[in-house]
Amino acid sequence: MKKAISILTVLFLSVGAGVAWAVDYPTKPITIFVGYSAGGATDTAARIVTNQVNKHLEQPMVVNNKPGGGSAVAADFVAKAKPDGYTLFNATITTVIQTVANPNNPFKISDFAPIVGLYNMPLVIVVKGDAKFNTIEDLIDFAKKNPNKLTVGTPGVNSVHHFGLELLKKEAGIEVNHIPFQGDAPGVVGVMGGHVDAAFLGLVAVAEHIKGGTMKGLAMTTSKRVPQFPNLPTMAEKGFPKTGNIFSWGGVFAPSGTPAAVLEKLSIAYQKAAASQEVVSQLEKVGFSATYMGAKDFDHFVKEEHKRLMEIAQSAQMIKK
Amino acid sequence: MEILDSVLHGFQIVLQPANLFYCFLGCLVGTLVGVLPGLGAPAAIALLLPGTFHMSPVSATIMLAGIYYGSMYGGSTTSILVNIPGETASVVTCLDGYKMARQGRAGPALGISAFGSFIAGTIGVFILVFLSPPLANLAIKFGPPEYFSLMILGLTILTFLTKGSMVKGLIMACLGLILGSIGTDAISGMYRFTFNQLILYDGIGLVPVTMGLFGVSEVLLQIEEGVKREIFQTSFKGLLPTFKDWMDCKWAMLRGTLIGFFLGILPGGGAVVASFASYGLEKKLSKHPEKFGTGVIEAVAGPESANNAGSTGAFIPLLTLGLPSNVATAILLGAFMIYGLQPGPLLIKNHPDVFWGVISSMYLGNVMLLILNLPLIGIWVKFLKIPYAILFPFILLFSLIGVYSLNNSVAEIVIMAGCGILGYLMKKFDYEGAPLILAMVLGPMMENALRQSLMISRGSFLIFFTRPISLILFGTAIILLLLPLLGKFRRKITMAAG
Repeated sequence: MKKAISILTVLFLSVGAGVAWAVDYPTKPITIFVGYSAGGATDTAARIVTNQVNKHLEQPMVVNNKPGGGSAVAADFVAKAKPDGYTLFNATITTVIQTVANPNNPFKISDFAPIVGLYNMPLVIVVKGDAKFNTIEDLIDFAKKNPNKLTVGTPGVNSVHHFGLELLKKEAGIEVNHIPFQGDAPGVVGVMGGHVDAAFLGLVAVAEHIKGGTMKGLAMTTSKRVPQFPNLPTMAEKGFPKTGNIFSWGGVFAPSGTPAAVLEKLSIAYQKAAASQEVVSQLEKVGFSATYMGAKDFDHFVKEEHKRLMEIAQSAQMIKK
Repeated sequence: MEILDSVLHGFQIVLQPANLFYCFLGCLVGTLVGVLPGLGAPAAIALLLPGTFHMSPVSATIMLAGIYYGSMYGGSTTSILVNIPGETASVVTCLDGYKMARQGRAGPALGISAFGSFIAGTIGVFILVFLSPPLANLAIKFGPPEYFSLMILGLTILTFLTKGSMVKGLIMACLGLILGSIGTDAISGMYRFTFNQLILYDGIGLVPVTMGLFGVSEVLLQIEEGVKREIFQTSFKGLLPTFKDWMDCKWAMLRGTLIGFFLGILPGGGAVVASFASYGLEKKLSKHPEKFGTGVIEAVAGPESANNAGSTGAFIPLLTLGLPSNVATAILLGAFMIYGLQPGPLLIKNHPDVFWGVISSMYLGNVMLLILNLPLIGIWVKFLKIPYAILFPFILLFSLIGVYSLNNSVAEIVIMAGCGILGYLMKKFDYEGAPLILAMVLGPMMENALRQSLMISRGSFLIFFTRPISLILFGTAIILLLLPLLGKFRRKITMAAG
């Protein structure tokens, strides 16, 4: 009964004061939750963008770290928060993966209203500097001739890299021996120490090793080459369009049900922030490429991403019962 | 001689007044956060990071590095004074350090930690200067099979860790293994014992468990047992270690330094094991192993040297390979990137100023830390004179803040409280906490390494014996386990013959 009354009250208030309220927004500080500890890559990116957004809002926006469950704790908190625009979530592809891979996941992708897409990071298929594989074709040929023999590392099970590997297996028609490590660093050691034959790793973790020759980059999982490595081919140009279109990304989610006028105001602030040269160059420094996507495009993108990852997870039997 | 030139160049950079100041500031902040239980280098570095954006990259990295290794100096303080480990690496320091404090020898315990840390840090910097590239190459040879063998070796140390009943030690180790298995399985992605609670997806945090088992439980026990304050107040004669203390500790410090440095360079995070390993080794080599756990000074000196050398060793994979080996160095890595420096094989070539500047600053930083910490000993010891009615609430308050500051999670405070009660019961019934902590650290690492190895070898256990490093580690573990048996066997034979 109490609950019903409060729901009714909220309904009345939001209907009655909807327009005026939205114009008033924001009247108090906004909190954006990051699902990882302060100082990590996602946190740094969130802070870079938030600093700029603050220049375009009347009230301060504060970054709040709520680590746990691979960012699921923060995601769940925001999904269930009051949809008034004062509680936002710094989402990444991990958020979508969680809704796909864990059937008991406490939040759904429909619990969120995507506001803005901000950055992404391509993955690279790497081998050791003195490996016998020089091109991605070499690697695939070997895997075809020796099913299940090639060991391929990723930074973890159910990581975006793992999805990338599953895509490659399907697209190239190969079977490999997947070795999930715990994070980028053990993955890098895995390749450099020759413990695995190849690995799917984030660009930032391997960039210096490719430049220094201790690793060879075979291909990047994007459709366009990146300026930093003009000689590194993409999977798309090698004829694997699906593997050539999977990458880490980050953006901002509000709880679904947030009034349209509030979302609009946030969108504009984010659009201005994302356009600033400072944000673009700072994101680049920590390894992300700034890729602005407006609310409508980002919403569409997230839904497509969910559909696509779900298909991969189902066909590769990655869903945990 | 090229190296000497580079080091001299490094000193030129550090001795600029601004850099000298930032080095000191980093060491000071590091000491402070090290002393506060729970609050550690990661939080401090992350907090100060935004303020460094307008500094020169060299100054900023010198300061942040100072916070990191400086926090290792302070970590032992609360372990010794009030039995609360400032970080997981200081759990072992509680065992004998706190006993020393209760015997009125808090001063020497703190003193030997500071000197041990200084010696370890200084030797570590020398190794860093001369042996970085070959050690980095050694570090990447450690794949899953090597880690597994190393963990097996680590687990054999467990058998030296307990001082009372072996059965009780094993019960605690099993409990640690069970606690360690909670969370998302890293190989299959399955959720184990999570009861669909988000907060358990990452497993149970080591810090809340440690602080509960050791710190909170100690407070509870002291409240119950009432005032035994005279032992603290009687003899504060020597604040510094005596000549005999030094003689007892010199080899322990040296061995601790080598173990710590070596495990510190492993990017998979072998550093936590280092202090346990040092303790185990000292007990094994000691002429009076039965006294370990009652307040033996070398049992403080060894592990404290080990965890400091470990923090220096961690700079090798960080600077030369761009690989962080713990949370604090991961944040340092992020900081480097924000300054536009990419740690990795090219750092020495592209940014010699930063590379040699940071390394030289570590040498000076260690001297500063020693000078900073020695006068503090007197102050810390005075803290013990504060009446318990005032001291206890503060200890609990700081533990609470420390644990909450890790993940901003109320659940972890609950875990700490629960472990506090568990720890109290354990103390009442003579169960020790150290085997539980070690098993909780080693269990998940060992399981993952085993499964990864077998996946790589496609099911063949031979992988542990065909790789040289793995074979050596495994062999050492087996020899260590068999030695006591052999001794018994020989005694039996001589008895039968006699």
